[in-house]
Amino acid sequence: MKIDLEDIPGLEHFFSDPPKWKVKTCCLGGAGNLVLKKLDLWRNDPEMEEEYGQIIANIVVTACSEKIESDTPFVKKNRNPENGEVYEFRAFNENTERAGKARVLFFYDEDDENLIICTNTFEKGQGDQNMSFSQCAQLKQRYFQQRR
Amino acid sequence: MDTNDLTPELKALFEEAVSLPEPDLKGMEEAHRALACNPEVTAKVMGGLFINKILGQMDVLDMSQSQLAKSWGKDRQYISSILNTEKPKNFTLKTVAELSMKVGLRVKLEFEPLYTASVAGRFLHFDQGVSALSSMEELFSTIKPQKECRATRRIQAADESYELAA
Repeated sequence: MKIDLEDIPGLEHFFSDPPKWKVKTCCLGGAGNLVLKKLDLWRNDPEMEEEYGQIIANIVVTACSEKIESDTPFVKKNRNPENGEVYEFRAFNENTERAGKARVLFFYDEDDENLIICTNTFEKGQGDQNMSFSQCAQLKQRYFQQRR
Repeated sequence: MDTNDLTPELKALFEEAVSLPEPDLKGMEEAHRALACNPEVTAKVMGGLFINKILGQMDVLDMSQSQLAKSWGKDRQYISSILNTEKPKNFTLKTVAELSMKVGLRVKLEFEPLYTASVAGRFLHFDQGVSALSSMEELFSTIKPQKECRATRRIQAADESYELAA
């Protein structure tokens, strides 16, 4: 399965100068793009629209910041050592005053150019978060194998 | 597409993947263009950049949140509420200045035009919000040179001054 990289459409409007990290999403073997699909669903869901805006803001913040080494309010690092360095963007739900449901998982590629690569998503209350991190880690492994 | 070499976990992902149709991609681009001009989102981005900078500087200084609380004369819970929770914060300028100085930084404010030539071609801020315009021609069709109109409001685009037709 080949992994291609795609931009998040319109994200460039947030940056007047090139950000420290370019943000890309994974397109799986020509089959499609899980991240863009989910972002589009959240964008069009009135209940998730607020969280969607926050996820995008957090992606922009992280793209303009130094590499995250420990947890921040916007990004959590996976604690399972088997998965290596994989992370998730998080949102805050203003209605419940708690961490939101929307998560976008990603890893860093520092080899040639600085990239943040978003692989898949997770919605709290639906599915298994550990499995989502494991999927992110497996895509990361395949991505770097493919690069060699 | 051969998916035989995939683990069950990746196979599950692969089966969910779809390509977004062009209109949805276009819609997403427009949504992000609008978010980039939304003051609330801009405030969240600025707040986030500020927190990331402070956390990064604390790492550089090897400063714990307890040490920061002590040197700033605040309690540990206050520091935690600023630096650890997902909830967006609305910092006062005084807090920004104080916290920066506590980690050895001085804040520098920078501004730039909201409407660069490319952005001005598609967006104008009116009283009712952001109005997306489809092209540069559409932008200029809504604006008349200053001499020709009874003006209500002045904007600057591409280094020239125009006024909207009343």
